[in-house]
Amino acid sequence: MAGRDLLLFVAVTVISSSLMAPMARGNSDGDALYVLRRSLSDPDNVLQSWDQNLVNPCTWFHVTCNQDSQVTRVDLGNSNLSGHLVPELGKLEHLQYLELYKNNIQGKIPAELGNLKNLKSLDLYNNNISGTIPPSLGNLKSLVFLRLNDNRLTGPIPRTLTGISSLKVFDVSNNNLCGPIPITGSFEHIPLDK
Amino acid sequence: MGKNAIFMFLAVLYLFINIVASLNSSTDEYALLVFKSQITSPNKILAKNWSQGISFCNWIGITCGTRHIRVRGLNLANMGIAGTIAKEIGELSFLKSLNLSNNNFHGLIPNEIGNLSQLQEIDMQNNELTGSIPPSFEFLGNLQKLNLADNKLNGDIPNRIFNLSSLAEIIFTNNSLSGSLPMDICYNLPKLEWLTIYLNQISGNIPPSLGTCMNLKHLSLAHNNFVGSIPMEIGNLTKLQILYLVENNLRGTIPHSIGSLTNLKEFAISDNRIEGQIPKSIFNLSMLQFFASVNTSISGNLPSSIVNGLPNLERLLLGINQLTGDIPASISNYSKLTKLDLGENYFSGRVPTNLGNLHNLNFLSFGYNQLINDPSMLELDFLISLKNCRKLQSLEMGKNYFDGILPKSLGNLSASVEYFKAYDCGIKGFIPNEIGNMSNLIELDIGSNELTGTIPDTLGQLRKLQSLSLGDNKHIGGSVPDNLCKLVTLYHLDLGNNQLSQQLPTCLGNLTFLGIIDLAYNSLTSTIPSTLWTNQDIQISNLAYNLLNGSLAPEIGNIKSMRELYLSGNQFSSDIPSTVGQLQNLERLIISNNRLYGRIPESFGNLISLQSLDLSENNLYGAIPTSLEKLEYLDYFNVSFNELRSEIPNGGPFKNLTSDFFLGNRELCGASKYKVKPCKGNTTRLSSNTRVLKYILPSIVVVLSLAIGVVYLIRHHRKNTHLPAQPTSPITVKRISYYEVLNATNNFGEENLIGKGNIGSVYKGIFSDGMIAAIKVFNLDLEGLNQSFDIECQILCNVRHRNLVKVLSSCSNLDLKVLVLEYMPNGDLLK
Repeated sequence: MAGRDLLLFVAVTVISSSLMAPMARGNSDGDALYVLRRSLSDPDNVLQSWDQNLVNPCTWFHVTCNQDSQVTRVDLGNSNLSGHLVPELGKLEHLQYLELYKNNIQGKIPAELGNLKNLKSLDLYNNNISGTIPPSLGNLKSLVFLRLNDNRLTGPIPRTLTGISSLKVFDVSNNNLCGPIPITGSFEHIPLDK
Repeated sequence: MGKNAIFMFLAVLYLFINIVASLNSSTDEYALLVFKSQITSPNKILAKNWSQGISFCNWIGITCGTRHIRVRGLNLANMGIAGTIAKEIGELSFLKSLNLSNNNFHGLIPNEIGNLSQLQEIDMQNNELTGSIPPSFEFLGNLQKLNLADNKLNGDIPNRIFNLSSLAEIIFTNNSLSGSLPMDICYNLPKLEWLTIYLNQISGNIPPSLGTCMNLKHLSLAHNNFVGSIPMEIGNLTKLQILYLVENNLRGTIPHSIGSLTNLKEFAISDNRIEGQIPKSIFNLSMLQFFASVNTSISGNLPSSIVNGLPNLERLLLGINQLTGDIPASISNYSKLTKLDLGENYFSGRVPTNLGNLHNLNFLSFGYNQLINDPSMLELDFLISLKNCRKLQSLEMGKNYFDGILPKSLGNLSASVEYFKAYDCGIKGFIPNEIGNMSNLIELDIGSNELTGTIPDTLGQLRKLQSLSLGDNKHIGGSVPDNLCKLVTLYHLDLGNNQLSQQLPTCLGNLTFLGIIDLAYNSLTSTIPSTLWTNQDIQISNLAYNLLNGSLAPEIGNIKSMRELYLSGNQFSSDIPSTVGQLQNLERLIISNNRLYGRIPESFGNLISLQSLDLSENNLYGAIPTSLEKLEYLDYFNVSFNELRSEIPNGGPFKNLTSDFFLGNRELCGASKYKVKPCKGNTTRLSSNTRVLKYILPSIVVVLSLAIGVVYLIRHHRKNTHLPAQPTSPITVKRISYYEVLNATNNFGEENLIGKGNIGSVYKGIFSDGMIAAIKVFNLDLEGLNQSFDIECQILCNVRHRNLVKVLSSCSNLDLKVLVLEYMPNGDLLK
């Protein structure tokens, strides 16, 4: 318990110190992704192009932007990443795809991901993620794919998820979840087999 | 006597003060214990340490005054504390310094802190505090430092705080504060050195009275909603070192008075709508290290002859503006320069060839301008000089008009170069082999130029390369070298729109990081190496418009990450593997203009992300699966020029498809908006047929086919012969003549009649070769007979279902229309 608090505290200081240095330009998407980069260990240098000094993150590899230079995709599946997700991801207002599957990401799913109201796909499968599924994910009203399978998640499947009417693919297999599987709302149409 | 009296008086007073102090010291202890009760700390440090057994002056984080047993300092920074701040903290009336920074305090800042009139420092930065800044802070007449940065505070800043004349530091960075700054902000702040409120939502004008805060060193109003212009009075702040105004809605020009800020080190106004020229005086600021005006609207030329100015300049960022004229050669005098961004402007003329003097240069961008190369030089000579920039990491020169060749000495550029972006800038000639020396390259983009020759094998030495773009050069020929397979970290490969020929290297499957591959518009031959489909992380694959042939491998279905697949304009001839239906992320599937045959897989109904599907100009037959009605994002669907038949589905996305994209399929029918013939029959085509299939023939068959099956099995078993499994071959229909039909049915004899329906009658027929069949004779009087016969022929011939009777043949002339069906000896299911 104390250890976890300490860890949280360390994480918080890292984040805040990154914000303490004012940027040459406003670039909140880039800042948020940069916090993610700092929180991840990247032995294959997949994130090497994530240079905070660039005008925006749109030229970073594995990042896709829309015409207004707002980040819509983060494609980092199978990239040998470890470390933690960061709450700052919740600031990527226009994000549609967060693809972080098949890595070795640990820690919890930040509740702030529930702020991503344009998110269509949240793929965190095949990682080492623990903790519970944040009920805030029920706020993801554009979500089509929610794949959290093959992690170490515990606790129940939040009932809030039944309110995501767009949800088509939901996979939480191979975790340590408990409790009832929702059958109402969007879950009426989701097949139970994989 | 008098002396004694005075002494006595003092002694009593001392005693009294001590009694009062000790009374109040118990108040302090009480306040601290309440404070403790509302927080938790890692390992319960405070819970254990702050105990009544020892004097609170010895507790962790507490400093007491020497004379009185009263708390003077409360410093709990960086302790991992969570909880709320108890209002009893307002009873620590001797408190001078309060530091709760870098913890997880949440909730409100207690208004009672305003009682602590001796407070000199408040540091609560980096917590989770909410609510607004307590108005009671206006009573903290001794306050010197107020740091509330990195919290979640909102509301207006109480204006009276700016009357606390002792204040030296106001730091409210990264909250959600709103409102505006008072116009008289500096009338009472003679000591203010830091005013740092960036990353909030403060609006209104920048008060010109800021110019009276004569001690201001650090002024940051960046990332707010300030409007209006930059007040020229800021030029009075002669001690100012840092001026950040980035990302507001500021207009107007940069005041000339900025040039008098002789101590200015950092000046950033990016992301505003600042216009006009950069005042020349700025280029005389000898202390300036950092000047950023990216994405404003500044125009004019850079001064051409700055010799002594800006000796300390390290970063000059002027990208995305309307600057014109030459890039002055004198820029090479800024010898400390590490970052120079002049991209996205209207600079013209030649790139100075002395940029190599900038030995510390790390980032250089002059892309997106109108720059040229020395017309008398064939080689891009400015590149030659850059070899002296041994720290250069990033070079962006794309989108210019260089019209020259890459020098062989490109290979002498520092190995430190990681990004070489030179797309669409008129580069001609060969790609020099020496490019392979740039061993730390992460990105090499020389696409959209006029490069010729072949892809050098030496590119295989760039082992750190993640993005390689040689696309759109139109004339790069030869083969795709096997050496590219050594680029094991490659994520993006673009060789499209060139003249590459021959086979694709089979080793491409080694590129396990590959996410985006574009080889379109070349002359690549042979089949797609199957190894390419072993890479399960490809997201975008464009192999369109080559000479590729062979079949579409079912393994395509393994690449679950595939979003866009373009294979059009090749010579693929096979059916479409139904495994494609597993690609739930697939948004675009463009496989038009090939020789694909067979049916559109029913499994396409599982492509839930699909937006664009182009199957046009192939030889696909059968019906458009109604399963596609489930694809709610589908907004482009083109099946023109195939051999599709039957009715176009009309549910789901088909409701909104009103295009020509069904043309050239003679047997398609449906709504007139599709520009195909209408489906005939009482109801729609398909449904009338389904009815027939449903009620007349079908179920007869299920049971009966079982019986046949049993008989067959028995016979088969008796003969003990093993027939090879029937391959599912294209339908071959045995031709049967009118005469044979007459013979088989005994001239449609009553004894052969099995049943009668609206459309016609069914007879049992025994053919001369022993075949027994059900013969459906259509009623010639029926309206629209020809169509319904044709339709039923087509549909039944193509439908294979264990519950449906198989059509063996048909016979059609002016007098007779019959279908020859498999005979089900046990009759109709309904019986």
